[in-house]
Amino acid sequence: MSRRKFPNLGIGIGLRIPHYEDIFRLKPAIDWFEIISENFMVDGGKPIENLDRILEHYPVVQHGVTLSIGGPAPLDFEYLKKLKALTRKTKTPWLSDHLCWGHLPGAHFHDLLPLPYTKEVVAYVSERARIVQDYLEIPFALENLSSYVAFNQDEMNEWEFYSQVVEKADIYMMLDVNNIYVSSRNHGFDPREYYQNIPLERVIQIHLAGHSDFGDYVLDTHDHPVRNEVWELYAEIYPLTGGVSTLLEWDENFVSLEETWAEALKAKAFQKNLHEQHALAPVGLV
Amino acid sequence: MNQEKSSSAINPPFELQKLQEWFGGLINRPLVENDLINPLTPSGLVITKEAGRHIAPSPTLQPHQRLQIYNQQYWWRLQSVLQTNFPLLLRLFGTHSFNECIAVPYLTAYVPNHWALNLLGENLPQWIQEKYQGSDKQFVHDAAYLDWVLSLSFTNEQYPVLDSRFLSEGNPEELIEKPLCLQPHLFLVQFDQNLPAFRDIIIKESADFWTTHDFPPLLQDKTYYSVIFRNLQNNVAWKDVGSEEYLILQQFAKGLSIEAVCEWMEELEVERYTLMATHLQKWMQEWTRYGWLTFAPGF
Repeated sequence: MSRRKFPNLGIGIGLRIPHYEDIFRLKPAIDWFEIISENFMVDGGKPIENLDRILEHYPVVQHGVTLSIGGPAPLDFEYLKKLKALTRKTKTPWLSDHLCWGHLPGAHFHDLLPLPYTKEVVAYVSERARIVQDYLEIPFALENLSSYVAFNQDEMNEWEFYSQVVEKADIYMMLDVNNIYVSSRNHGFDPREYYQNIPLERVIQIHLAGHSDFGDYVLDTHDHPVRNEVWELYAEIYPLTGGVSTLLEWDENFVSLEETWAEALKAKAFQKNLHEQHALAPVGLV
Repeated sequence: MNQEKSSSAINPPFELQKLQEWFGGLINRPLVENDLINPLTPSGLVITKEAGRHIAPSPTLQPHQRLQIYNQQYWWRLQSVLQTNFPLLLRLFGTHSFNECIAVPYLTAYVPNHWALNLLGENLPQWIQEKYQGSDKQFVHDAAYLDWVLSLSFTNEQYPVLDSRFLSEGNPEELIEKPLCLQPHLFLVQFDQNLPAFRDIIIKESADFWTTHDFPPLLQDKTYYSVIFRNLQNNVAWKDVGSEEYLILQQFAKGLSIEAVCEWMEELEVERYTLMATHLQKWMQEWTRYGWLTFAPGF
């Protein structure tokens, strides 16, 4: 397992419709964009035209939301075929989706639903994840969820489950730092214990986002600036990854492209630990 | 495909599948008053007890309150998607009534079953025909249908455009024998009101705005024939056409050649035939300018 083959694309933001006009007009020096794959798995029209225009100027990484890797239905190869065709178009260096389930035969929930953390489920999900990576023929990463329930049948904690799935499948981690924080609040665990116990060498991308704190629980809403607690975690985790591509997600209550990019750029200040670490003693992680 | 075979051989763990069926069966049940989870489960038990069989409490929430978060997110997300995809219908009803009279009963009857969110409303016009009870049923259906075809037009495929250059340079005899068809993003619609123009005005303002303002006048003086399509700049547009123009376009939608359409015209009453024959060349030029025509697949 080596992370060296994955480029650090720098800091990116999620490509969202309210920003198109400014992106096309100003062509800002944003390092890269992440797209929601499903938004571009269509037959034609503006979505494809806009994607083509983006691809002329920026690296694009694909992130999916409906694979349902832990669902009980067989993997949907019609979906995967379209997804693979899109990866050929975007030349995404890797592709990610979520460690979750989202549909049953006959019902699609359009949500990232949590899995019970059992050995049986590790075996089931990892086998499917390996097939997905083999089929797509590009590195495949699973993202940790923000979750709001824990199941009585859990046999391990979330970070053990996550680690076992990616290691058994020999795939990668898309580590969402905000999700670690949100879940730590909802389940009452120490977020530091989470990141200290996962195979960080498998992390190929980091997500950051804002959340909403309702007191009794915290919701992953992607509609605020990143909270200080999450930046603090990012500052601790980023150097441990050796420096990986970092992306800000902002999906509701949109602010201007300029403000979104300014929020994403804050990550640079929190990346200094890595550079300080390099200056003191270059380590094998890099 | 090897991976497909390998995948179909993997069975989900029994306990996982049971848990998912239970969980899914609860989160897509409609919320009750104040957007709370239904206090009774489908099996007739109280949710406060049944949730605890599968879900652990958090330091601050009981199991059913944790489940309720997913129940709320399910409905709020899907209602929001339908509101976005049916902007005319949303404004006609207002947000609260749209959710109560349209979104919730529709999504309960037609449970979402495709990964693409833009297909969430594909059965909504049909559901209105089947289940909507209001006296304005036809109008509500037409509004939903118009929203739906505009949404389809946005992302449907575009085949190579049969343009005027092709018409002027091609072999005329060969051209008139070739089956033509309309672009997959083009839809022919007819309404008893000037619905597309009405919609253009309505959607400029929010749903909240129309709760305190009168709707603009809706003309109901004749049948309105319109073409919904994506223009050469890839923007969704519409254009009113006359009934004769509409009828000819319907023939091309069936995949007929120019020659076959002319034969079909000859069977019509003289007045209509004369009007069509007089204008056909001009209309063909317009349709090719708009990029509406293409060769039928395989030709």
